[in-house]
This record gives sequence, structure tokens and C-alpha cells, in this order.
Amino acid sequence: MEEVTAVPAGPPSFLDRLYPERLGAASTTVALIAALCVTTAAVGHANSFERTRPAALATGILHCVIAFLALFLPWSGAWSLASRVFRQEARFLPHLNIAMATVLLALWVDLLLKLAAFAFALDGSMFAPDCVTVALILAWGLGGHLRQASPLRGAFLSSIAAAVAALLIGLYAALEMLSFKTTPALKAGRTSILPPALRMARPASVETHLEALARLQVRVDALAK
Amino acid sequence: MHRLGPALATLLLLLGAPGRAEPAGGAKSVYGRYHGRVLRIRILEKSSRTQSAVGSGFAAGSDGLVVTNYHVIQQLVWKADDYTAVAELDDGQTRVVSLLDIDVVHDLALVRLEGAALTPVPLAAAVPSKGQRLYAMGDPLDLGMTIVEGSYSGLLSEALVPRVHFTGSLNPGMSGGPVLDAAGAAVGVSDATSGNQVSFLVPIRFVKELLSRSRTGEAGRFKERITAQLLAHQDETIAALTAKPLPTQSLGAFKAPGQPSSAFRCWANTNEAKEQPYEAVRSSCHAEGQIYVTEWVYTSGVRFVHHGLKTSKLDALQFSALERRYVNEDGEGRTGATYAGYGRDGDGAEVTPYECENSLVTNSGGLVLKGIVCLRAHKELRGLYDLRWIAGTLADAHSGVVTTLDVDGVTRENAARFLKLYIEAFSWKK
Repeated sequence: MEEVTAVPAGPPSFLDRLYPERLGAASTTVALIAALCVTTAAVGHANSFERTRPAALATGILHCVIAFLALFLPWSGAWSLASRVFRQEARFLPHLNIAMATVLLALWVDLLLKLAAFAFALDGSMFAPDCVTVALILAWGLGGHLRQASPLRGAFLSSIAAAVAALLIGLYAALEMLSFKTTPALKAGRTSILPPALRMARPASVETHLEALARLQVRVDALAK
Repeated sequence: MHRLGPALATLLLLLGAPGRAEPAGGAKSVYGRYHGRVLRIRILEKSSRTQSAVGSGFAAGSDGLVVTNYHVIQQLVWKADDYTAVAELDDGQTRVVSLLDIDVVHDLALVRLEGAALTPVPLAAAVPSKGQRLYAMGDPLDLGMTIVEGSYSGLLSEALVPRVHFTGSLNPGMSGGPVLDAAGAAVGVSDATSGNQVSFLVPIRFVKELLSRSRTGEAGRFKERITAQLLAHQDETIAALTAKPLPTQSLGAFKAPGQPSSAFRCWANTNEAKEQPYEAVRSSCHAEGQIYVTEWVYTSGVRFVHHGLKTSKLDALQFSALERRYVNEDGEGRTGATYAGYGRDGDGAEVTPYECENSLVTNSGGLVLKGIVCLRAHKELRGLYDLRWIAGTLADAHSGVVTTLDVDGVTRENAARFLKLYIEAFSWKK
């Protein structure tokens, strides 16, 4: 009888490191649900200025529950179905966790970018980093789902994820540009305003601020021709 | 304030005018003496020969010179290939109208009627006294030559463009007609109305200036002349507005620019709903006397809106979200396209889209603001720009001011001059 020799496990690949095994664990699901609820409640609270605080917190938690029921469950269910068809395994928990982790990452990165934009007065130059990071996160999420659902592996799978993410981000950028067109204030980027204590950048003098007019004049003169 | 254009016809008809006791020989006498010197001006679409606009005018010289409003004949300047004008005299004859000169700032135009010899309406040498009875002649709503009685209610000399306040009912079609005193001397030219017998006249001194101006070597080139006049006017306006620091008004813990001069009308109101966890005071000022250039372009407008925001119920993050909403939505919850007032942007339109930059700025008082400065160019009026500045104070975690400033039809240098003064007017309230 021929002896079966175990193949020694090699070092984890780059993709393995991007999608660790624990992404499929039930404990990860619990942690992600908790993190999502805390994050959405906190964001909801920070952005609520028309309601009282308890109502804002309750709304944040409600949004979290609605998102879970209406977004994550159907989304993960659809991917599970694809996994079952192509890999004969539903893999529901990994799909659910990937979906939640993608949204959570996007929320946190968005918050961090807004904080950086405000703290360092980078509003005008945040559009491209915003698009790139959202595209990367989307690509990560799509790649994770494809990895669970498809027999494909490696570079081909990554390419598909990147292409779809690029397509989606192009759509996002186009929609943003449309909103810039109708709202002058947005043309300089969405203005980040946070509590004054979070400001790190030194403000410009009035004279320096007004120098923008000369640059704007060049731009609008070119448009007027 | 509305020009006496066709759009107002129905509204103004409905408003009507209350009766007025006529002194013996007043309106009847004036009409009898002068109706032959007042004429109807029709703007015709060239291919169909159908009228596009109707106004009035009056003889100002024996050689066929006629004075009317610029806004009556503006299509001859901007769409000269598509429109022409004719004048209808009292005896029913028509004459071709040719444009001679324009005073766009005061909304006047001087035209010549080919082959017409009219007796000019005399121009008053003195300014009427307040309450003096006046008679406006013209062709309201294309109904035929009419005389309307009213009174002189003073010169609005503080407005960016001086106007006579005439308490009388002017209607569309009367634009460009003379307003006469009982002796038959013209004291003004019918120009605009706000309805309810609040009407505005061009003071007669500007007609005299237009008539006395040398027109040698100035044939045509009306667009260039209009641009030059607007450039000169905005220089004067901004020089007057920036001659001294802007007055300020209190908004919560801050001071913000207040009424710059008596040419501005300012209003304020609070927006404090019972369950709203913050107080918002809206204060706005706008200058009287914008200059009509075309149906879509008015210039020389200066207006600003402040929102003073204060809370004791919101935390710092929530308050900053509130301030952010006001800044990103131009302080009005509306998009810039609708708030910008006048001028259509895009292909083939009058102005370019706004271009904007965003930065932190501190004034000499040390107050920090997040400011978005925007500029757009007028395509035909080269050298004139519209400025928009939107900003929010970044000084306190629970109170602030969000402001939106619009200055229309200025050079970049004048935009900067006024904006500097405006930014410097913000401060903490001591």
C-alpha cells in the first residue's frame, strides 16, 4: 500500500493573508455585528442634529438591524447559493462576514479620510484618495466572495474583482461629479467640518486665501472661450 | 422689483389701481399736449415680423431722436440678427428704429426714427418736490396710449443705481415712456414696478447726460460699450463699499458683516422649532439696484446670508454636522444652481459654471473659518465675474456662523477687495 505523504503547508500566499481563515468563524460574525451596530449608531448619533440623543441612538441601532436583515442576509444568501452551485458548499458565514467586514471597512476608512481632510485641511484633494480606497475595499470584498464561491483562483480571480470594483467606483465618481456640477460648494470637494479641537492645519491668511481667485480666474476664462 | 415686461402683465392687471381724484385740467391737459410725442416701440422677430416685446418711448430731439429703456430694445444688442424694431407714431405711421446709444447702468437707450420729425418733450430743469403730482404716459399691455397719474415720492439716491420712487401704477408696455409734471416737462422715464403702485423711474438727469454725450466714432459695438459701462460702474460701487470697514451685526457669540450701506435691505428671522435642539438665526442683506443686462443676466448684485447657529443640547460632533450641512448646502438647503440667482451656465449660455477652491482662513482678528471661494465668468461681458464665498466659523464647538456671499458682475480684483473686507468683518463678540 502506498503511503500517503502529507504535503507540508507552505507559507500563506498574499491572498491567503488578505482573507484569513478566521473570516469564516462564528465568533467573527458576532464581533462584526457588534462592531457594525456600534459604528452605525455612533455615526448616526454624530450626524443627528434634528433629533434628541436617545432617538438618534435608537435610530442608529434600528438602521443596523434593518441593514442586517435587508442587505447582508439577502446578499450573503445569494453568494451562498453561488457557492453551493459552483463549489457544492453554501459557506454562508464566510460570505456574511466578508459582506459585513467590507461595509465596516468602508465606514471606518470614510471616517478616517474625513478626519484627515479636516485635520490637515485637505478637502480639495480628497476626491481621488476617497475613490481609490473605496475601490480597494470593494475589490477586497468582491474578491473574498469570489474566492468562496468560485473554483477560480489566483490572479484571474483578483483581476475580475478589481475590474468590477473599478467599474463601480467609476460610477460612483461620475455621480459625485454630477453633484459637483449642480452645487458650487461641492466643487471644491465635500467640505469637512468637525469640532474645532480636531483641526491640526494652520489656517491661511486672508491674502493667501484670496490668491485662489487668480487661479480660479484662469480656469473660468478657459471655460469662457 | 420687476421690469415692465410681458410676464407681469396678467398680475399687474389683476392688481389694478385705486381711483384718484383728478385736479381740473391735470391728466387731460397733459395728455392732450403730449400724446403726439410719445410713441410705441415694437420689437419684431425678423422672419415672422411678429412682435416679441412692446415698450414706449418719447421724442427727445427734433431729428428723430427718441429715448426709451434699454431693456425695451436689448434684443437689438444681443440678438441683432434675429430682431428688429419699429416705432408707431400717434398718427398710426411706423418708422424703423435704429439704435444710437445705451446707458445700461441706468436702463436707458437712445434711438433714431428714420424720417420722423417729432417735437421733443421738454426735460425738467428741477427735481420735483415730494408729493408733487406726476403723469406717466405709455402703452400699457399694448392697449393704446394711456396716461397714469401718480406722485413723486423721492429719489432713492442711496441705491446702487439711483431711481425715482413713483407712487403710481405702471404696467408692462409703459417702459421707456415719459413721466411728466403738470407743466409737461419730463422728470423721469418709466422703468420698473413692484406692484401696488410702487413704481420706479429713471431720473431725468441721466437722460440729459445720455443726450449730451458725444457719439462720434462710436457706431455699433454696443456689447463693448455695455461691458465698459458695467466695468466702470462696478469700480465705483466696490470703491464706495470698501471705503471703510463693513459694519457688523451680532449673531450669537460672533459678529458678522452687517448692512454695508443704506442701499442694502436687510432682514432677519429665527428658525427655532420647539423640538429643535439648536437655535438658528437667519440674517440676509441684498443691495437694491441690480442692473438688467438681458432676461438672464443681471449684474451689480451684492447679497449675503448668515446663519447664526447655537446649541446647548447637541455635542461637538453633532454641532459640527449641523454646520457642515449648512456649508455644503449653501446655507439654504438648496443647490447653487438655483440660488445663484441669474445667468445660465453650460454650453452656449451667459456664464461659465462656478470653479471653486476650499481652504482654512484666519482673519486679522484670529477667527478661523473654513471658506469655499468660487468664481464664474460672464461669457459676453468679458472681464466681469460672479463671486461666491461660502464659509463656516471653526471657533467654537457649540456655536458658529455659516455665511454665503454673492457679488455679481465684478472684476477679479474688485471681488478680492470686497471679499477681504467681508472676511475681516467676522469676529468673536466681546
